[in-house]
Amino acid sequence: MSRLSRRRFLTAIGVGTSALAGCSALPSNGDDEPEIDDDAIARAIREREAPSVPATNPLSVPSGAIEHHRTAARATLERVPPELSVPNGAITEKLREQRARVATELDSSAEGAPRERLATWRDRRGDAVNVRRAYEAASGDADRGGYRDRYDEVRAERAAVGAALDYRAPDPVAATVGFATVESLLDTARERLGPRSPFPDQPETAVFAVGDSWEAIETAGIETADARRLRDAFVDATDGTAWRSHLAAASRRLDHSFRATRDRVAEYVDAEASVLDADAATEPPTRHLFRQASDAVDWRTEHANQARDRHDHATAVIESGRGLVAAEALDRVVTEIESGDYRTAVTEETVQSAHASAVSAVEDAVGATPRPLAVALATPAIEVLSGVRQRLDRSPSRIAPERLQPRLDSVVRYARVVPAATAFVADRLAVEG
Amino acid sequence: MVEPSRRECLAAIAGGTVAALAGCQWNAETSDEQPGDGRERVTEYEVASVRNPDGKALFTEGETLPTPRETDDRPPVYRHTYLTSGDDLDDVTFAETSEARTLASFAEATALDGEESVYLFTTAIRACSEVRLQWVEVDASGPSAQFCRALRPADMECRATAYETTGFAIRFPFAGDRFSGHGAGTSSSCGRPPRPEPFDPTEGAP
Repeated sequence: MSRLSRRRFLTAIGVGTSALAGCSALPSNGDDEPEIDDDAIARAIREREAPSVPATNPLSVPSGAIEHHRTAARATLERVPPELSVPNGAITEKLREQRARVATELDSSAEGAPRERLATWRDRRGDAVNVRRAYEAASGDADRGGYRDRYDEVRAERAAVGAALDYRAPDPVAATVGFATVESLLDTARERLGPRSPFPDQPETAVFAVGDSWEAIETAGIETADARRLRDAFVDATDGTAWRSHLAAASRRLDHSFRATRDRVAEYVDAEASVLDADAATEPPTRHLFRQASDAVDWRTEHANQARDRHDHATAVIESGRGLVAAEALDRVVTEIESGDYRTAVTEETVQSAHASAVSAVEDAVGATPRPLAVALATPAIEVLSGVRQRLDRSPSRIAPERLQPRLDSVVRYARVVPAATAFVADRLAVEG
Repeated sequence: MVEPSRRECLAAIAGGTVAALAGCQWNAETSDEQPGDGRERVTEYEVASVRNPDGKALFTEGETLPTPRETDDRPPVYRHTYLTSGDDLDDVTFAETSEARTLASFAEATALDGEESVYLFTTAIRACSEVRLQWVEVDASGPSAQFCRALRPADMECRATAYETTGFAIRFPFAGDRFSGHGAGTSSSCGRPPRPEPFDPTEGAP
């Protein structure tokens, strides 16, 4: 059978897909099937500990960075009187609510690891900027010229920090993992500065859009400043070698490796389970497992290409590494399904077992060496597990076992490839020139 | 004579080519198309909008207009109707306010019974907000209007809890007697610009 792209496939089968989706949503408690207790599954998963992932990122948050954000956010919010009033009563109410909410945020501490807390405080500064600038617009004091100048300034700052990255670190792995974080911050800032609606012609008619515009560029500026802070603290502490050209060469080599590996499974990327030579290919768990594995290769390809286009060498190394994992995992999934080894039964026990296996596989994966690289490659699997957990925390009664189980199974298949891929990438990073 | 296709008819409507509508008599009742299929943007229309600061009803399809209330409760004034004939217009009762008279005059000036049709819409709106018409579409079952709500300017003096009434009259350059219905939607925000149209190579072709 010739390979159909997913888009063509969906177009071709049209209504048929909807019908299948409808069937999978039907209750599975027919005469022959035991009823699945969704609540019991959700409860069991929520009671289980998340996988233990070691803190391996070599970047450390400089002392005083969080306090700096807190002080700046408070100074910004102080420009907005708590009992503010503008002629439009609804805008007055909304601005007062927003100001009160941000003030409460600024009086509370942030949770998580240091870099997560730093990120939370960046967001809070952005929130304070939003309220301040919206209030100014509502008061007739919108600063259009100031906005344009600040936009240019932040854009130039971001470009300067990006251009000055020399990936100085004790070794290539540390350079990769540490500077991927810096690149990610700068990339987020770039996206915030991307095309957006123009500054409103009449700011008093769109005060909250004015706040959003200012928040975007000021948050981009704060992210740029944090990228510089994290880089400076890392470089000052290590006094290492500049790995820029080394990582650029390694990312090129790994890109070729990823492409060659992906070629092995090309017919299964951007495809539906119907391309498989297996009777079970039409069953929901099989279809979902295959789609998870197939899509993962697609996403990694896109991410790796984007990173390479931006010359984000560290991110490109990691994304190519994740691509190697995803491509090999897809290969194994295809073999498993076509040989009839993939179990398609879905019960409370099999879902819970799949979750336990996923946690265990991730913990094994992040134990591989070099550990910072293993954690970086395993991160997509870690994020799937944390995403599952967050969804269950938000709505524990809305669980779809026939989707959840293959999703957890895909985590296992991905994580099991991480140790070998970590060693492969580490070897390529160690190669001179 | 080759009958124009439904797509050609809709394109004619969207482009304001009213003369081409003579042959457009597809039957919406027997159409097997799903709702939303073949929907086309109408660009050649006229609109009048009004606002009553006292929250009074503007029109009703019966004879009795809703009574205004002396509270901040939302007044029960929501109505929409699609007029395709003089008889339809006779069934509408307009209030004795200048805003309602504006809508009535607009409807009366419409060439019903043949060339044009008119859509009337009214709703309660918070005093500090306004309703905006975003776009008008038509499909085989009839026309529909998409509105959105937005805050009024910050320097507009208004009370957050009070209600007013707003109304729209939209004149279409086509008769509507073949349609089976009409529709309206209101987004809670006007933040998004109107949905861009797909490329149509016949549009603007020499």
